[in-house]
Amino acid sequence: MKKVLLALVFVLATGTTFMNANSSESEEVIMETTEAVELIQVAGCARDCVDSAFEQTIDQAIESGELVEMDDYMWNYESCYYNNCLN
Amino acid sequence: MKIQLKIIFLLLFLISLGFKAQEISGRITYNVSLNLTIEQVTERYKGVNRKVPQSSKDRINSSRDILAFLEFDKQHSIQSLEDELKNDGYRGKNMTQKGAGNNKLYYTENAFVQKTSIVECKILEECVLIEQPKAEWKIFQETKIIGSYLCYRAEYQNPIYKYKKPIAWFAPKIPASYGPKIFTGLPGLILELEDNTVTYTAIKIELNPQEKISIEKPEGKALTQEKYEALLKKTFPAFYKKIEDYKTSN
Repeated sequence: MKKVLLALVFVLATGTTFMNANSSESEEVIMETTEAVELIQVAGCARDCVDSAFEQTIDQAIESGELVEMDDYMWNYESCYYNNCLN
Repeated sequence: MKIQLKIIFLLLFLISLGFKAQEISGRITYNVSLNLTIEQVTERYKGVNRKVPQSSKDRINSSRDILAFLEFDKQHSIQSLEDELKNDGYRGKNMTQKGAGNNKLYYTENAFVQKTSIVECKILEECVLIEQPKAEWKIFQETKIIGSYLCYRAEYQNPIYKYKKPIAWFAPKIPASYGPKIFTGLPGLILELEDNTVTYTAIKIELNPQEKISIEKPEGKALTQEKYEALLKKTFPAFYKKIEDYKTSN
């Protein structure tokens, strides 16, 4: 009898805990999903800037006859990010 | 004995006057304009079997003049560009800015030997002073007047660009061996510089202004150009690999 009672108490306790955990965490999950979507959008824009800045740096080197420089790439990337990824 | 003392004092006085006369400081404002044409760019793209992209034409057409400032005294000089914030909404679209060195500073120190450094603060975690090789110039008899100063033509001899040798017009009447970017070491201040893709023209010359010019040496680790390039390759291997991949695929 004691074992049955203990088992019931255990089931009730864990059940309640899981129920609580589910109800409170579900809200957070929704919020995190929203943030993640925003982050992916920004990262997508930044990713595009990585490619376009590289292309632009190569083109500028052809135009000027200078070497492909890291600082030109950084400048082009920052400019792209500044112009396109920031609201 | 008294006469000897008088002569010594007179000599000392004259020497001090001489030193005073050599103490020169100033602030030069240059207008920087793009000197790269669509025709030149078309030829260069032909060389790599490509058509000029529209983005390149747009960049050239939309470029606009900017200002550069050179401050100097007897000991050193520093050159910077006008405040970036004034170009709001225009960043990256102006090719003149790229030709003028983006946001870098150029610092020259006059010790026993004149040394010019590029101050780079954005790429690595700390600022570095990239030391430049000693400038070699060839001076010509050709002259022109800039402002009210007679200027001589000089051609930069160090190998630096593929298509052009930078040309400076310097004024021997202003005894300061400085100029825009890394172009220093002439027997007079550079008032006009035809660089690779941009031209600097002095539009305001302030010599020995009442307001004292104080220049501080920028902080940062001093590196030679070779060591700096090696450090960049070590820090950003992916970028340099991408360049190599691009070169082999084209």
